[in-house]
Amino acid sequence: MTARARRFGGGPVDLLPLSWRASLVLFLALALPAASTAGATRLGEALVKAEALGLARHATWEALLHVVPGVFGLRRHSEIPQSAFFLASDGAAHPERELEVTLRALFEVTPAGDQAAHCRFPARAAWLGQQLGLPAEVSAQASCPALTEWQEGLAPRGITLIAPEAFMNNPASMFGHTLLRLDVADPSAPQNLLAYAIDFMAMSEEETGVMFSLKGTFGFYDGFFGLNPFYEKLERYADWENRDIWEYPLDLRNEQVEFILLHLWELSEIGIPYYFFRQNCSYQLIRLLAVAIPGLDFSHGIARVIAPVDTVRDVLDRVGLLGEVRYRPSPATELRTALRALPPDHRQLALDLYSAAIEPDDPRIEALDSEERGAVLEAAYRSLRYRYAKGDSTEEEARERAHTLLAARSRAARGATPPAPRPAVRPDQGHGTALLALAGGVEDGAGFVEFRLRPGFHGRLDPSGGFPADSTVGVFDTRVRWFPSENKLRLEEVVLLELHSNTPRDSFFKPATWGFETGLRTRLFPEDDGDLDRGHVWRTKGSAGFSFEPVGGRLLVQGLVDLGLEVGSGFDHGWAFGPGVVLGMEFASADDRWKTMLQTRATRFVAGDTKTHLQADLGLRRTLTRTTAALVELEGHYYDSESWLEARLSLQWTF
Amino acid sequence: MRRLALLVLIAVPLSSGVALADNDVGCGVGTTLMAGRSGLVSHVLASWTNGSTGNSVSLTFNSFGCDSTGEVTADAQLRKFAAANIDQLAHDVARGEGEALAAFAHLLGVQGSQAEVFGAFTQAHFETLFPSADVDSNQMIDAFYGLLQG
Repeated sequence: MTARARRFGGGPVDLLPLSWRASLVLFLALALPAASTAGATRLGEALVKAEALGLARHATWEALLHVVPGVFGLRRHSEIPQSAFFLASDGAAHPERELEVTLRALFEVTPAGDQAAHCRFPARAAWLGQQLGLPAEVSAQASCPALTEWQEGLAPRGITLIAPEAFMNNPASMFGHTLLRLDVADPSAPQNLLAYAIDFMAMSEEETGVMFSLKGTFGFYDGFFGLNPFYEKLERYADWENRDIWEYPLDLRNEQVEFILLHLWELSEIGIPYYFFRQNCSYQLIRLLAVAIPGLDFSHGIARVIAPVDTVRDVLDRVGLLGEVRYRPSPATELRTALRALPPDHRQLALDLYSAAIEPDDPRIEALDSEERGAVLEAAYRSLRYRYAKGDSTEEEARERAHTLLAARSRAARGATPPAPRPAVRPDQGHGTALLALAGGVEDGAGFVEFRLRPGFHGRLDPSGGFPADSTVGVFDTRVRWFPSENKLRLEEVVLLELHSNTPRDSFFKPATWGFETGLRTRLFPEDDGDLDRGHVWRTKGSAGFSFEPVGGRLLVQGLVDLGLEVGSGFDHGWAFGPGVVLGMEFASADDRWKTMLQTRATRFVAGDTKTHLQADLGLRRTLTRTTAALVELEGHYYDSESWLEARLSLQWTF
Repeated sequence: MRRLALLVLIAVPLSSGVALADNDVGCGVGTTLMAGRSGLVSHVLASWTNGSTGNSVSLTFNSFGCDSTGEVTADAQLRKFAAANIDQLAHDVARGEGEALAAFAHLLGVQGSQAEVFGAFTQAHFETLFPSADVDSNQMIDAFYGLLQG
């Protein structure tokens, strides 16, 4: 592999630049020294035909070269800057040059297989051969042992799109993820655990979490395609990160699967610039699939972050499903199900078993019938595993306990695992991740019209179906307001990032509730004459606390403390810093067609401009159609001995 | 149980090095003869990045374990899979069913229709397969072979 890459990377085939006019091409092709006159003639014919057919601007050729329109669609160029990905020295900017040089290389007589152009770029060779009707002794003149061995090793029967849900506790995964599995059997068969998964990952040797996201945002990394056994992927996404996973078996023809693999081979060891919000794993998987799926593209234009769930939708727009979408609950989801399925006294026994307060030979355990005992031991073992993955016990302790519990479990009845209920809404069936809203409202007596664009992802009042429960992620949330009375247009907010994770605690699960936000906001500042002046502030704030579901799953109550810094010319000294307390609640109807939230916040600035700010928010969302909703929002403020109200009525559209 | 042992015996070539006849998972499926692993793998794997840590970003796979004709030895496949899935296997054996156990059975050549019998068989022999907390995956497989022969 390295040898091949080096050969083409180090010394791209460099021929005389040719005009792309057919006659001249033909003339020069004939004039160039070639192995045989007959071969040169055939090459000349192929070049003429390629031009006549316009192959260099064909969608498949551009997809194979990863060509995209440049700024304003003016300059078309490849997104892959590596010379190893091209035979022509200027192939990245000139698809027609790459095509020409590729054709020339195909007609060259090459002694060794793996080194030849058709072995290094088998998808390009196969496509050109098919389009131009090239004889096999040209497009596949010699065998490619390494490629053949690789293909036979993988031998996929189909492709399944795998979508682990978003994972809030890792900023790098907060939008979710997608990968492809090369199925070795029927999509639902267990032996697909042994299948290979194609993953596009950024190369970051030591970076973690926030730094990864920041650097990834600005393209500091290169990404690479990799192949790993699917069970290794599950170990990470399911077993350690507890992410539910959805598996979409794609209805692709064998030729499509084969062609995708040939193109994947071309991408071997090719670094592709990685951008966290757009050119991410999901984007590159679409680019890979697009070579075999005509018309597959990002359907929603430029005003959005590319979230994995959007790529699932884009793929499903173009490709049918081969059977049912599989839901693979995470160990945490299965544990929750197992604990809930137990009557309260049995649940307590399970927790006591897990914590070693009692042993499996306890009379209360032995009194249970075989199936009950199995269910209790099952829940106890799952609790242990969950807590171990959270780092709550040492490996040695956990290992001993696991063995004790499993040995007892093996003596109880077979089976007895209740399946975790499948969520009613799949991720691809949830609301669109970009949002547009138009609102009318009053702020301290002044009427306004507001326009809002949120390119991603999921807000607090949005319908929760298809999204990870109790978490919200907003990026580049932008509001512009027009005040007719003052005839003034004002940038109201640009919130770069806003995150909240509000997972409720119960007797076993003890997650923290937390939040983070940073962005431009508008604040009203009381003036000496009693008027309120609008001023921009940059606010960065972190919060932590607890959430509970006191009466079942529909009411969420939470309390948090936060710490924030606000910088803006409206403050005395230009800034304010201090802690706050937040109390909130949310309530959604059973069908999730309406949802309401109430929140109060008290902030005491202790440094900079030392004042107190009290705020109360009330929001109500009513779903109208699958993509539209109406919202009523009220805000009350008290700050620097002045108080004021704001009310908004908005219509929002998700896409 | 004896009948089942025979059934498995017929399907599985026990000596390592014999190629699996129904090789539909391909030569690429992990075939490195790796060290065995015991239950509850290390926290190190729970890395906090979306990057390459613990993952290969190469498109090649290690084909060591394939014999000269490109076929994978059943034993090598089995050992790699068991090492990577020892937790799931211990859990599945203890309850007599599960996806990891089904994939393990598949590698052994057990037909899908026999999965229930296989599950019940392994569950009944949990303490032979996992006599202590420190059993690693290779010892478990050796114990399994021992069960079939004994």
